[in-house]
Amino acid sequence: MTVQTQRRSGGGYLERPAPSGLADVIEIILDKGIVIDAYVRVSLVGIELLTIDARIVIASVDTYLRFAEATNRLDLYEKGGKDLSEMVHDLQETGASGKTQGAVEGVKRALKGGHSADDEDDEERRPAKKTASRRRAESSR
Amino acid sequence: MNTGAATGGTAQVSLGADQALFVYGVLRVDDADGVLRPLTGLDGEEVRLVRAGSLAAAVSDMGLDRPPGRRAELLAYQGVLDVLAAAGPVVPIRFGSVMADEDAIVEELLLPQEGQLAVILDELVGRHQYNLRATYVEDAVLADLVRTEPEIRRLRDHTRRLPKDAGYADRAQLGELVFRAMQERSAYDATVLLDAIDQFVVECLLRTPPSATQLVDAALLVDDARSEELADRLEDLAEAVHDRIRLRLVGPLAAYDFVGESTWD
Repeated sequence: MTVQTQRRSGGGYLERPAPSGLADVIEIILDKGIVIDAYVRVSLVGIELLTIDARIVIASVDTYLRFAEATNRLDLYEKGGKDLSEMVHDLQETGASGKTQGAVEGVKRALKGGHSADDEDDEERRPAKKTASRRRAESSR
Repeated sequence: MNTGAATGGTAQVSLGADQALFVYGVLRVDDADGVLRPLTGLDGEEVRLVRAGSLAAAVSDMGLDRPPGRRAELLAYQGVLDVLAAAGPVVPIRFGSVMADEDAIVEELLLPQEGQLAVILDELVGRHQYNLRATYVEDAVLADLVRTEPEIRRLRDHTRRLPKDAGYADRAQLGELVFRAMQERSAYDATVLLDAIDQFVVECLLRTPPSATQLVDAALLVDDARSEELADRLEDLAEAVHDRIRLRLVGPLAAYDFVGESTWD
């Protein structure tokens, strides 16, 4: 949406982009909204959509090899090692009204929501391209 | 253009005309006054309202002999719904929906579905959708796995020393272990993240399940009054975990994910 709420100063780790590109918009609207099938529905969805859809890859040996390569390419650095829930917990200790997290409830929500889980081997890949635009997106408005 | 040719499986009815109405969404007639003008929709056509009872549908003229599928149409559709959503609750009608004329919109959409649409619209008063995505900084997570998983560390040390075209089976096994471990971690971290913002969210739907590289792809329905707290909370979280997870929040949006699929069921 074009309206960006003004963020407090500082921070800037949370990306708040205005969805302006085709890929963003497709992601937001595709297959969403009420379908009414008693009347003509004209598909305006053309070739451009197909290229975006090509993001889905099947986890296969090729995928595994990619992860193996990425793992081997690493320069290990000793750092951190905290579990995410510990980090969130630390945050809540220091911050406002904390709420203990119930993993079970979260799992229930995960089961209820969204698309079918499909085959667990299906994996959605997205190119890692966001880092560079993060600060800019934050500071632009 | 024959409408049947372009649709890929959607049931078709012949319009018997070359002009029709593109439908964007439905809103409460009380919210509609003064919202629209001037608002431009697909093909540069002006968006107007078709009213019936307590509801109004936002539509614009569309020629049926037009070429299909250009980015301009998607952007225009979302742009119109942005404006409508900023003014009040709106039920988006799925992109690509076209009805024959104003009579059809009144008789086949607004009047028969008035009760259900009104219920959905009431639910959306003072609320908007936000899309949240969380992705891993891959190298950081991989490093963590090498550090904490002995078998991954062993296979890594082993395959690293081999020539590039050797050790295929070991490499595949290493990759599979890494992939599975990331999937597991992703499912766990997703619940941690979503629980941490639960109190600011009316409803949360996962748009896609957690995967090895993306923990969260969720639509959040949020009270406008709490949206700032949510953003602040996410900012704190993003800062705390930024060396391994990136958070991205898009919105406020029309509640695309919270209106159901069909008015019929």
